[in-house]
Amino acid sequence: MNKPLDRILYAEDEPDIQEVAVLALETVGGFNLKICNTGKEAVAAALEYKPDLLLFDVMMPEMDGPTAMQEIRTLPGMENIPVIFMTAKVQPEEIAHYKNLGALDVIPKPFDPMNLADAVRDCWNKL
Amino acid sequence: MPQIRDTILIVDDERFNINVLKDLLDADYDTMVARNGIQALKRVNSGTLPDLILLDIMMPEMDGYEVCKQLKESENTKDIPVIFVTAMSNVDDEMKGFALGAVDYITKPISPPIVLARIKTHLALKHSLEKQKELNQIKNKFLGVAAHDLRNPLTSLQGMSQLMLKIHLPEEKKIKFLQSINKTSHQMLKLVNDLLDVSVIESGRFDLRSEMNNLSQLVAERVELISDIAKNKGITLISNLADLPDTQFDEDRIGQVVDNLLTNAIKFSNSESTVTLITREVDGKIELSVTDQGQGIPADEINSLFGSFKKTSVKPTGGEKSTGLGLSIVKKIVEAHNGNIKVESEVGKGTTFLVSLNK
Repeated sequence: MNKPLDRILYAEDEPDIQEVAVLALETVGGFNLKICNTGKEAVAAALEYKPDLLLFDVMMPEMDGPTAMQEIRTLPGMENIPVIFMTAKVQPEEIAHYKNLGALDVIPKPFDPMNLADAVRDCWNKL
Repeated sequence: MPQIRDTILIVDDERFNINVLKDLLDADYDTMVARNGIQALKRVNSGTLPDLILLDIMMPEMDGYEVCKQLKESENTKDIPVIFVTAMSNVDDEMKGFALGAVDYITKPISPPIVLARIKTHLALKHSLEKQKELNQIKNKFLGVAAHDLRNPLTSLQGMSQLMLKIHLPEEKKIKFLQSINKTSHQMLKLVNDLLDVSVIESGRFDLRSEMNNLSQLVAERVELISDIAKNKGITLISNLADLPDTQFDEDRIGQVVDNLLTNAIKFSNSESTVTLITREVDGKIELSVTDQGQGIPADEINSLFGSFKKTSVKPTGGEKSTGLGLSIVKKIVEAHNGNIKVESEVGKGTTFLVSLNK
């Protein structure tokens, strides 16, 4: 059994969606969050924040979610950090593609903010 | 445009039969020949796929039935129409041919006009099926992109309303959420309207209601309606509108062109910049140009600018949304008026769209 999930590095460029997810994860779910607006910000914040898990939107300006994941996994101690993508691209071959890239799971948009924290915790507990 | 000639593969072990068919077909089609079944399969599996196959039945080593069976089993060749051409003329033989997937059955001695007519029909059917398949693929891709582009705004609509219903939020947060829900629903309506426009245009049911109208007058009206959006972003609109004669065009549709070009220019411009609209009469045509001092479009993205769902790497400056459909609709409307649209752009300096309509 893993230690309980606590620190999530979250990246999303769409302000409205970010606001919904932050309430869902902090207020409803009780997690600690570091919020980033782009993949690039997430890469810059990763070493200092020391997250348990990355929760990334896929399409973001400057650097997309999959690229940010790959960059963070080159950082010391983060080679195997679990990543969940949140995306509106939810056709089966798209989901398979993200899992092939090394994602732990994919959470489709729209998501239910009342269940998002549980969905993330379920992924974590499967590890 | 020269018509691409269809290729027909003739499979027969008798030289005389091959020559009869070749003489008949050479004027309208490219022909390939195979002298037996094995050679026929070899030919279709290496190089050019024929558009249609004329297949004899009685041949040594491998008969026509077996060739047909193997053709229909392969993903690569299963859609090539096969017509049996044979002296075997009883009903059982004929039914066996159809059961194996042949589209037609012609008995020897052949009647040249009937053979030509049947070939023509089956080629037309084949091409129509290919076209349908292609259109269906385009439609599915389009639906996929549209579904994706609706899921994002739905995420904020559903998420915000769900949170308002389920958890305690401060009053000012609730008002902010309501404003976002309202704004997002407008964006979704714009996307839905654009999708409907594209579907009407693509289906060919695009009726223009052209009447005598004045382009300068129309532009002035639209500028008036949109000027607040520009003002809010600190962008100055300059109109330099010529005294144009009335010309035939669909006022609503050309109005849509003006709206799209003008809101695009505002969307991709920074504050303290200028958007200039000019109308003029040149060489028997009337023209509208919309010039911004925005970010400009990279040269390698100009060509795809007018395609459906083609968003460029250039982002709106004020967090505005873009459906990626506006310019494809603009181009279709202008072309439906027998006009044309051109774009000139330099990164860092700005972009000009020039619409030219016949008088």
